[in-house]
Amino acid sequence: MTKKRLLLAEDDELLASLLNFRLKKGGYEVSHSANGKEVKEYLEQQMPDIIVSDIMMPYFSGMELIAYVRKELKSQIPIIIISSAGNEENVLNAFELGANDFISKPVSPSELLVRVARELNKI
Amino acid sequence: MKTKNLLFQLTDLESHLNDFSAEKLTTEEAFHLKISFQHFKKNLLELVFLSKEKPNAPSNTGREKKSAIRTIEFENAYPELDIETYEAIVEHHKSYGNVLKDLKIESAMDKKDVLILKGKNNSNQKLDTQIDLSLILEECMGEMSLLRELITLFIGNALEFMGAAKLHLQSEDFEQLDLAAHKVKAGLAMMRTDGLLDLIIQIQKGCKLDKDPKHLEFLCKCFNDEFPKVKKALDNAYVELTNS
Repeated sequence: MTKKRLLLAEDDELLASLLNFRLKKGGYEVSHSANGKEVKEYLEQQMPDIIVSDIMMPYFSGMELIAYVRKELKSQIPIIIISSAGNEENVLNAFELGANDFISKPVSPSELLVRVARELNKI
Repeated sequence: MKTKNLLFQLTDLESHLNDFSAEKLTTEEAFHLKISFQHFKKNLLELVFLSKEKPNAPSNTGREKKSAIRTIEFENAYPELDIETYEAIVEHHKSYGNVLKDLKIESAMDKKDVLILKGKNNSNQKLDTQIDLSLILEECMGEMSLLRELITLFIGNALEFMGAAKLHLQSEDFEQLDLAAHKVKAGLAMMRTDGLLDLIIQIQKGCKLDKDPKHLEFLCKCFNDEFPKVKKALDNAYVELTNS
């Protein structure tokens, strides 16, 4: 069985290291990008099965990423947004742009794994 | 006394309050004390301003009054102020915590602020240096090497923040300071270093709301002072875990 490809867009190295480790352990093929520029470059070449992205990222925010995937790439792949606590307005905007789910910081890797699996099972 | 002198007195008092806050209060208490003082200052000046208004003078809007306080025109319009009582209290009480108490500052504050001040939670207790890494190790599925990596990244991020904060404070670039604080926040939450996280939240609030360089400098200093203790606690907790 082929592993599902997951793009993790997170500029916080600390969080990214932990999530990267746990998602790989969870059976996913994880590609990590630390900024929006790398994310865009990745998406120009290939499309993952799911994207997990922070809202606040340098060069290309999570919002711009959603808009780019939905409008320019015309892809409906699941996108899970990582948001800081108290950023409810951004979360609402993310949903309006087409995000499928969100998870608040501090992120529980176990919770994220459940959410990722749930989104992938919907396809 | 002239308005200018009153303002000097208030500035002086504010400076002493900051020192007092740094020594005696937690960061959260200091933050609320600052808010309280600002209410006090605003209300006192508005009171003085209104009391000196001529009965038949056309009334100004709140915004115009605030603006007038900030301008020299106000100085020219109301050169002498009757603040003997205020001066006497300030002179009498060298402990500025008592000044607020004796001036019954609560009456000049919003109910919400009074509740915040009364319901002060002692953040010093949160600024302890006990760190439990077992929960993070659980998240790491018992991988000590990953835990070590996270600690190294955490220390690097905190040091980076301290350096960036110094630069942004010098240039008074609050937007960048806010971003630097945001960058380090998730890591602090993840490592459950509540004291440092509390400071970062206050710094972000300060960057967005009052943008007071002195207060932000104080908060960053608290962070710099607290960080070595947290680092030591992290090292100890890691050694404890490796030995267990």
